[in-house]
Amino acid sequence: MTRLTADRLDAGTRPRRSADPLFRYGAAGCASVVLLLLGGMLIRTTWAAWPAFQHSGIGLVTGTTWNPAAGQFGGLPFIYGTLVTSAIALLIGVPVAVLIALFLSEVAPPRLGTGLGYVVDLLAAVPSVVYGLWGVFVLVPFLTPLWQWMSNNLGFIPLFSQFASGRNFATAGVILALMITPIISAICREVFMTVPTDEREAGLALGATRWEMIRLAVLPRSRSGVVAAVMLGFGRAVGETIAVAYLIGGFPKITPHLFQQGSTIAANIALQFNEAASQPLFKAALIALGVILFGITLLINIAARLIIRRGGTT
Amino acid sequence: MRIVHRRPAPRRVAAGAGALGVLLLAAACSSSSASPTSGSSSSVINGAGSTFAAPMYQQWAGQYHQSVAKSVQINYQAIGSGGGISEFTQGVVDFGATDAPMTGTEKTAAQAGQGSVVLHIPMIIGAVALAYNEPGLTSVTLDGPTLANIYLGNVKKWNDPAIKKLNPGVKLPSDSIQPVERADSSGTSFAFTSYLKAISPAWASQVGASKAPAWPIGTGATGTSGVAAAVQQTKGAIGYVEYGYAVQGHLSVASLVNASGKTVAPSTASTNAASAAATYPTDLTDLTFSLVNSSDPAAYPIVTPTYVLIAQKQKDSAKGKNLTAWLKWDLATTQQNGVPKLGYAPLPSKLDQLSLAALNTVH
Repeated sequence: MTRLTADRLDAGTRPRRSADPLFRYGAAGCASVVLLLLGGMLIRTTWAAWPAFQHSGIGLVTGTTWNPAAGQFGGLPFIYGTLVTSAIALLIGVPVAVLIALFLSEVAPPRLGTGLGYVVDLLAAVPSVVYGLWGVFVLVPFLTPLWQWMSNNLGFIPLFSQFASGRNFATAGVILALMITPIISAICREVFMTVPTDEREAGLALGATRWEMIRLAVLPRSRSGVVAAVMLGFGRAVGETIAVAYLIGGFPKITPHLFQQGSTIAANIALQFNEAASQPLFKAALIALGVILFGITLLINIAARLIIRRGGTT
Repeated sequence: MRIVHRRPAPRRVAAGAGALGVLLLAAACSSSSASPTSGSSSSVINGAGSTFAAPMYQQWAGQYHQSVAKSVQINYQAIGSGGGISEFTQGVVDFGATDAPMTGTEKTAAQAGQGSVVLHIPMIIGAVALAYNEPGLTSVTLDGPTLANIYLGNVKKWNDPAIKKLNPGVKLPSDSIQPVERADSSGTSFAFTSYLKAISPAWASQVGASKAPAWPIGTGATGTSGVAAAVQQTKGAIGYVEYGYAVQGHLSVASLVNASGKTVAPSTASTNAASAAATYPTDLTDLTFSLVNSSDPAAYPIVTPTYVLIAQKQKDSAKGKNLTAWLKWDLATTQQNGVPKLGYAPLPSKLDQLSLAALNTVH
């Protein structure tokens, strides 16, 4: 009986039967390409960087002097610059982005929220070289007097003392904040929208104010989504190249003073690749910096996953 | 519940992908395998390199296409001397352009990549100007040792005794000096540091001459335009740019004390003086030389030739003929006489003859 039914079904759906495995293997194939690409890239870059790891060893991560002509490849100033500028960017960008997203999803009238949402999405798509040029010609002249003022008046805080140049960690951090804010807020907005209306209404029905409703219903629900959005922003910040190369003052240095010049891993790779092209060890050292950058992103991603898991489901 | 937690998951992948993009770029650039030469037609010629000489090559390419050979299209990308050498070595472009002669390792790599002897063809002469931004200071004179000390971090203020001594009667401000340098690989940096190396033993031992030196201090900017922007935006800044660029940008430039003790401002005449006084090599396969720190009393001290890199044995002989015809046209008297309009100096005639003779060996 069942068999008969199945046969009939089969007879009626022959074309779909052949499409099924086609879809399955097609999709699996594409998915495996991603894995192959990832693995291939990791192996290839590590292999290409190997001479530098052999030459400098752990010094690539801990060394403080970067002088390729003398065979010194200390990557710490670049790692430091990458982390400091990204931290500044997150410090400024995350609160602003979350507030923008909350405004768009919770406060603004729906029509205004949707319209502004499109604008935020558009901002997220502006190419980084545009941010970089705008940074050079608009942001630097605008921020330099501000940094100088802060250095003169808040100089008792070491972070702000000893102003050296308008192109510095702080300026690069600000441009990164501007670049990651739209991305983070666009995703946060989507995440906040997924909180069921029932729960919001339940909160309001219990007499919660709008802020209390956001705090009790929206934010706890969205924690993992917000963390993921921040991670994406961080990913863009650590990997950002051109805008940072224009604005950080391209000088490898480790200093607690934010108003002094620095450099980052990505900016340094972009600036020095041409010079390194015919020098195998130098080239390997730059690729090694790329591997280190990958390692940093990986570590931060793992840390974020742990945070999400520990924060747990509410 | 599940939905909230699952939705953002793909985004995390995207973050990793962003970082990987950088790596992919790194890996792609690192691949030393020769890319196919772009432009299948032998009348399309691609070149890349020196930003220093770019305005000249771009003008010549346009004029040649319009008034000499309509069928020949020359595309020149100003990506910096270091980039020009690396693209030429990889065979991505038909000719490279650089202000700094290739180093030994660069030359070996380029000759292997091109499968031929690679020639340096001097094309024009240029000066490197020291642009500064100090309101109220309309003119200033510096000398080599002081300049080296500024970039070594030993001279920190505009009213330093060393600068005072060179500028008697000039009211110097007490602002700190903000040196600006190229953060990317640059032929202009090479000319500038070659001069500092020639004149300052401290510079020679601590930094040396390079397209991408390890600067002791300063702010790094990208490209000549980046240096100019940083100088214009920073009070107290000093930076080195190609002379024509300083003229077009109306930047204040410093005069320098030359090897004969005379104070000279950068100009076509003072650049000519340096190139006229020099002696040139006779080996056509290695037409490289330095013009910094000339002993001529009228010479500006930071002067550099800029070269085109070309394979002696061309893979595509029709294309090679078009390329050498264009380069010879550039070296003709009419074109060389027009060079000062863009802030460069023409080749002295004896050097022009050497360049043409070297081009005649290309086949």
